[in-house]
Amino acid sequence: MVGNPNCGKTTLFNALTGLRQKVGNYPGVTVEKKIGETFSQHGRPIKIIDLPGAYSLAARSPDEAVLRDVLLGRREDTPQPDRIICVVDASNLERNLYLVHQILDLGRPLILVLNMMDVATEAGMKLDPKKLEEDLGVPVIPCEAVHGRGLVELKLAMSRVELPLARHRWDVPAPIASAVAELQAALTDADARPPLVARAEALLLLTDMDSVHIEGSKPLSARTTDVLAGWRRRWQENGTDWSGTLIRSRYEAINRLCADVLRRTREQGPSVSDRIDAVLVHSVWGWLFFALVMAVLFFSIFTLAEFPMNWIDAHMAALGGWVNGAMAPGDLRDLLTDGVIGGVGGIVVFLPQIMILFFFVGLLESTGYMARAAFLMDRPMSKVGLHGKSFIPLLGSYACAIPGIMATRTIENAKDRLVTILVAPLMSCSARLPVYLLMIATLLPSTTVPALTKVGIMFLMYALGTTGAFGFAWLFKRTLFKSAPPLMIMELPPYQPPRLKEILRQMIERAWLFLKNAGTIILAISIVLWFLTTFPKLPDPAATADAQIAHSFAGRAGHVIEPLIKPLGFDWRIGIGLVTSFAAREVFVSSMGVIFGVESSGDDTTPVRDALRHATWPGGAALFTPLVCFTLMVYYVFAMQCMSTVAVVKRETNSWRWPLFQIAYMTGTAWLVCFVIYQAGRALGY
Amino acid sequence: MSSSLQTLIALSIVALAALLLVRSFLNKRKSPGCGADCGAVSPEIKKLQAKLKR
Repeated sequence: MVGNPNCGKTTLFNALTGLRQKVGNYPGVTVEKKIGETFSQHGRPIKIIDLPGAYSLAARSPDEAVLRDVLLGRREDTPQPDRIICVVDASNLERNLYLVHQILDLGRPLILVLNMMDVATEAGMKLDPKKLEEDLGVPVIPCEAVHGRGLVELKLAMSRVELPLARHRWDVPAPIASAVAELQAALTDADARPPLVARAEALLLLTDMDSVHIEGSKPLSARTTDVLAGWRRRWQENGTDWSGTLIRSRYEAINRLCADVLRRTREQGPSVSDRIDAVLVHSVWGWLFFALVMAVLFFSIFTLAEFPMNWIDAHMAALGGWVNGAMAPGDLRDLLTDGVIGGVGGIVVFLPQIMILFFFVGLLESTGYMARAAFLMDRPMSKVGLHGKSFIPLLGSYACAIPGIMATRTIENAKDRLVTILVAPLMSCSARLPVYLLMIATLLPSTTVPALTKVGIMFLMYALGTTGAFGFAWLFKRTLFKSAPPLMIMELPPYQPPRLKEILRQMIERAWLFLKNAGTIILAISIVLWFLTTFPKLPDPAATADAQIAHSFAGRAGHVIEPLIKPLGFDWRIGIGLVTSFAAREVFVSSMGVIFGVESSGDDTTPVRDALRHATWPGGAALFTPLVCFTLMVYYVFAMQCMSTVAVVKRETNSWRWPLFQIAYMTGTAWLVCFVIYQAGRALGY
Repeated sequence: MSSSLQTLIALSIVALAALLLVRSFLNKRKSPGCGADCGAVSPEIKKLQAKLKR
């Protein structure tokens, strides 16, 4: 199954195969290989490979190279498909037919699926699938994969024992026909390609001057390479634009086809989306709207979430109080109140804010605004040398750096990809949110400070992370990874009313994952941390909580690292939080809950933020001053505090060199920036 | 509940938690990535993963 990106290919693949899918990688490349199974009309199993989306067979990325090599039979791990299902977006027929046209040259049995027929009709287009079928000589199936329409017809076409071969032919421009013929002969004789595949590959080799070569593909024979090099040399000497001639000629053939099968029922003026875009992607209004969206998002996080957060806080405190009252004093009671309720309760309180964040993210995605945000960001990104394709990975990293890093697979240039991987964890992921929120709550009590001030600080943290990512990308592109400035072409989907059901489903899913994480890994870390802060016990049972925690395993470890972090204004207890949160950043909050819960005396189950406000240095000076809270937030903006991200970077770069470099430069920057902020703040009297 | 029994139960819970952490760390090493923790995996893939596991 092949098609352009955004043509609905994956929706169709899922609709045909349901859950009968296997997801793996093509050997040697980090390109996902999806194979699904469906059944013919007569119950015969049919295997479908969902090949990566591409606009043409001229590969510019490993994904596109996989598509090209599978269709040309170049890959040893994947046999050439018996049949090709070409999915096209019916509302963008001309552009989508370019890939189909190249595939038709292969002379393989093909079914053409005209997907999104409803969108085409809404856009005032009238397509004649029968006429297209007559012109091309292959089955053409009109379809709406989202609504399941056309699936039966497609399955019937797939079930046919024999499929007619395409009769559509186009004439190769005369000046290059001899080059195509010679290359075709070489490919047939020396590379054992069937004649039609050889012709298609010859056309491709002449068009695709910068072909991407990937591991796992059979190399071309010496004879073919020589013939190709000879013709390329002649082309350069004569100054003949073969590539342009071929592309023009192909588009002329496509235009003739479209003129035959496509009618417009009404004049195409600017659509509603075009009119909205005139404002939302405007060079001034677009940015103002973007800033407004971000401000509303953060403002909602602080204002709307306050009531449910107070409710959770009160119930956690009541639960702690109840356990204290119901159980006799002892280690189990302390474990439950300080380790479990203090640790997990401290993090669960942020659930409403996480849900609001993802509600807004879903809303922006669902309406189509996210693509506009990508469009707006392309200009500043290209200024620092980042590829426009880096936007989606970087945007994804606001939720979590891991899918963001995995999304860099679509970036064709290895240097651009590596730069994106290296800076992606600087975008403030959702795991940082609880840390920011705790620090803001400690720094600014709700009763005295307006929500807008909190919004401003939160915005500053996100802006700092984004600026840091852009700054380092700029630096890397000028030092370690010098390459030509990249170019991006992207599609802006039409605006749509938000699909509330889908948004709520995603929001609940995120909330569930957050709770699951809190109930498993964070719970386990909180329990282990309680043990480390409680044992070994001081022989004197009347010893103060401060003395006890300083005597514990965690206290001793914290004191070892304290000299390193003291210049940043952090004490050994914060140090324990920094070390434990390498597992996941939000663990810092539960760690603070456990450490300061253990430290607080007896039956006190006050919220973490209150415990932090009352924490002091041995001399009695406040530990969490506004300056320390701010410095700590900045530390989390820059430091590489995520074990899972390190593992993914190792996998994606296939080396320990880059994850170690990433840890060093990010944590080094965090330390340096925090040192400057704290020391400057102190000098200024904060 | 006596104090020593409380200590015994608490330490058993700590041992279980430590075991869970070690197990999850080893699993992470075997297949690096977030698994499903980051919410980026689509429900279809999660259902598929569950099915493949079965």
